[in-house]
Amino acid sequence: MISKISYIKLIREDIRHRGWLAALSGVLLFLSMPVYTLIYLDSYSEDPEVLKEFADTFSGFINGYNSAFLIILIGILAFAVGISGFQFMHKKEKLDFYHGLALKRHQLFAISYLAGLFLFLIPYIVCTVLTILVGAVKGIMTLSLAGECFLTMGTGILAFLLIYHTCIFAGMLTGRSVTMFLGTLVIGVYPSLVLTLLPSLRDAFFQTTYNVHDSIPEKLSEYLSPFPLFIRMLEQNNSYSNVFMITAALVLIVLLLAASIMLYRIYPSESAGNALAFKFTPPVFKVLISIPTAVFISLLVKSFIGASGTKWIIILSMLAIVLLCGLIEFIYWQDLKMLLKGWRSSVIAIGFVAVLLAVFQFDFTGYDTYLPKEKKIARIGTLPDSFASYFWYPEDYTSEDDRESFVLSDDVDVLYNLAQSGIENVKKGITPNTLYSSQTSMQTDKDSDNYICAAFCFELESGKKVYRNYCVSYNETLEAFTKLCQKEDYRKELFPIFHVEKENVSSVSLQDIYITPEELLLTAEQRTELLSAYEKDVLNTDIRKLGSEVPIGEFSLTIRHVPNKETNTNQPFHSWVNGTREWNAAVNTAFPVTSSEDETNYKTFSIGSLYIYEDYENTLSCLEKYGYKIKRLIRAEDIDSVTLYLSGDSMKNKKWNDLLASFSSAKDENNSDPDKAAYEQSDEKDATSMFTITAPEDFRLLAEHLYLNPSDFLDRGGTSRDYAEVTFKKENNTFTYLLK
Amino acid sequence: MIELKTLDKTFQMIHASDHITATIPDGMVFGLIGSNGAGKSTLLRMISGILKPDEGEVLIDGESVFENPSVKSQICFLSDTPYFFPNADIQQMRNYYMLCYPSFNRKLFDSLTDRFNLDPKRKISSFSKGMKKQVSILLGLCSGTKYLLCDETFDGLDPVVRQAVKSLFAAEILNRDFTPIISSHNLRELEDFCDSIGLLHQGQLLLTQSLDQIKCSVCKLQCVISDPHKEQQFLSSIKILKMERSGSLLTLTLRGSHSDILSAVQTYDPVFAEVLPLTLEEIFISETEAAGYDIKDFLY
Repeated sequence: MISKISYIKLIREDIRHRGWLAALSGVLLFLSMPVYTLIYLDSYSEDPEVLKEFADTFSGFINGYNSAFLIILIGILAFAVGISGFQFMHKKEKLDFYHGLALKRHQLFAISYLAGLFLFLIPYIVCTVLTILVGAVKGIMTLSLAGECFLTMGTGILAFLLIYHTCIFAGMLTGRSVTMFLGTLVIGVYPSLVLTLLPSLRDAFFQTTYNVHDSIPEKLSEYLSPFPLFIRMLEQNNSYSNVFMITAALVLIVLLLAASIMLYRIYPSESAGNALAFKFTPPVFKVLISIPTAVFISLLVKSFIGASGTKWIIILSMLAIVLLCGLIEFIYWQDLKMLLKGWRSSVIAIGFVAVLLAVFQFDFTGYDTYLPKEKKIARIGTLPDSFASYFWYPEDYTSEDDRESFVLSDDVDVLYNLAQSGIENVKKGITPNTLYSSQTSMQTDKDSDNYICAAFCFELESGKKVYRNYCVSYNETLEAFTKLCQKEDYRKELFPIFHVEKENVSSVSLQDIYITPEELLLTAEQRTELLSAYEKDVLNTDIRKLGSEVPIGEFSLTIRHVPNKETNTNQPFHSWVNGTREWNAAVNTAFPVTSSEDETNYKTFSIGSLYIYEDYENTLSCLEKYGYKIKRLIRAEDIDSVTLYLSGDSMKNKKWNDLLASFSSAKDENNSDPDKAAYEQSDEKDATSMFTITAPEDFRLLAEHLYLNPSDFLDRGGTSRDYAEVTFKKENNTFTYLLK
Repeated sequence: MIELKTLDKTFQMIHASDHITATIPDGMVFGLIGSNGAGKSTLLRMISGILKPDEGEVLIDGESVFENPSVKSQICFLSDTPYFFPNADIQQMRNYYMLCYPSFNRKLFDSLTDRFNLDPKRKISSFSKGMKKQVSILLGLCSGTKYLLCDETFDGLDPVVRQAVKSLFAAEILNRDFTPIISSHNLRELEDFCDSIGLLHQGQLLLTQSLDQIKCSVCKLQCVISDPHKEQQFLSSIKILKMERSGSLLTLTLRGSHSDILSAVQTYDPVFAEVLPLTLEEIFISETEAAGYDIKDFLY
């Protein structure tokens, strides 16, 4: 019998036999952690005050938040440690040697497991301490930050264990190191693959799907699969504070370890050299792996090549399942003559895929025409596509959790009838997919202006929520909103101005026909008064007018917000550049909301699209009171040039003929400059005509036809609009206006 | 004592052990012979607790061996392809065996490696196949276990080393409680070394007997009986395993002791009669043929 002292010696021996791995992990971690940190901090700035700004993200040098290379390295080390520790099971002579020793299986497991763990832990902990020392030398380190670094190290270790245990678990199921490696890859992503497959198939096959951000399968897929969880744990700053994620990781780690130990106790020694360890597993694994993988591959290939329709998904899936079955059989037997050995399981897998795709293709479940029974619905909400740009809510930038996009109403019948008409449209072939498709007959008939896309959320009495996306009549939708907004509560919930805490508004900007925003110089009280006047107007306005009128101006608000440091792990303004997380100016510029951190540690952000209409009397009088008047016309002397883009319909109907005839300088770009023909569409009657106007007298004639081009309350999505692109003399700004 | 109780093991479609029942007594050299693929390695791996039988069990001194460290500590299994750690030298392997086998005789091992001219600091990977086998045998011999299971370990050893190893085994048997079990497909290799033999064929154990017992119970008789009538009477009175005729010279493999057979033939007035000893190989060919197995073609 081997004494306890000998166990320690055996672990030490195991580490010694894997000395190359100890050296590799030590050197690479040393380079990726303290050395990288030193180089990074040195190259960034030598100013201690600037360096202190790194305190918030310093712990990212421990887990990979600041370096994608460290994430990759930890993953590779976990693989290497796992495979090197348990590959003895896959070679007969090694297995005979180890299994012949006077040790129980779990004792042998513990020796290899612990030796592997130490191979990573010792250099990782040492490198963490060295990295903290680098921080201390640079004057960044505080006691609490050191604590944060050690907590981050804990998440790094958990992330390592996720891959390490996955690798060991795969090793227990397989009999060859190659299949152990492949098995690790499969187990690492399998739950995510399966969980995301059904929503993907729904999206591909059904016409009325609505993707809810962070749906239950989507959330589960992030927490049930080792690989996504591994990346999530390492790519986030202060990820140790995400209790749910840590719990999920711990549960997975424990489950994988327990399963590995149990499997090792019954691991058949004779399976060394076989692809899989247990007799019954080859057909089962083949079916389980090939089905989701084949469908996933088909969806992936389809999206890459941009094929439309579902026929390619079906063809590619069937092709992929046949190839996968053959490939898996080859991996099992490594003999082309044995490809048909597991033909029964191949038939099952191919049959399952065929049935699955048939269910989706012919909608056997009635997904597209499903509507919950009215009496079972507690509340309904609808969200036209246009709301995404028409309404900006402050919660989108302040809340850690995603805001519920739908404003749910108790007036079930109003929206229920609208949803019913949406289903009728689906039956007629009028769906969100076809609405914007240039290949549908609907659009060529110009029916598209009568429809809009709107998502629906049905909250059932049971609390469950059902989501669908329909094409609904523009007029019916406008009428429905008119009815719903008769209730003040609904209106307050719908319009973002009622979500704004006025005391947090630090500035108000106004845009009028000149578009360039002007910050209103108002006191806090004046701002509050102005916003109260705006609220009053929004409460009183007729919803029908929002659909038909063009706003004359727009407010933008800058709002202060104190972020919750512990839970604010999402950093939308960061991006990976050359493996390093850096401030990305391009992203910040493109993003419509600005965010910055001022001296008082407040975050500020801006929301816009608070439109002002002609009948907003309270707002307009308040603005006038403070000396601001909204300009409704562009002065001809401010314009440098104008380019008109007139739709094919307008040209056909000779809508602008009188105006064009009155211009002294109108020049048809299409006719004079063949290069501009790119503006033309293939269908001649949809061709857009382009005219350039340069004469000041023409600007005067045109000015009264120019309107702001805001997001529509309900965007018809039609293409038959006429636009004018106006270039101003001042700063040479160019803006687009509606031509009415 | 090792007891094998209806051991059964199947790999995929191959029935490697077919309900084997046998007893291997302590203190003697047991030879396990059989053709390639007969199931010798499988049986040894089951005895050493590496493989779990599908049915039956292996008892060593009354205790089951599988997952039983106290029993396994009495066994050292030497595989046909010995495993050494990458880049290890003899000393490193010796140290590891010392960790795993508390009764490891370091002094003996060091002296033996010296006598076998094995450089303790040379990497084992640079050794020849035969030298690796020598290292493996010395490690196993010095591990101090009661049972040493050698799976075709003697194959590849030169005759001098083989003889030296046999002497070492004999000395160990004299000095301590030691039972080597040696598998081979070469009968000649085991003939002058084993006390007891087990013959495996197609997963089945055809027989287990002590070598002396086998040699005493079967012998070869060469005789010439001039009277055909008497010759016929003699042939019908004895149990013939095998008969060959060359002119009037009869060569018979017979079951029975030397003296009994010689006195029996004398009663028929032979012109010439002589009892010759049988090799182990001849005995097994005769026995297995008598049992209905034509194993001549695959014994080598």
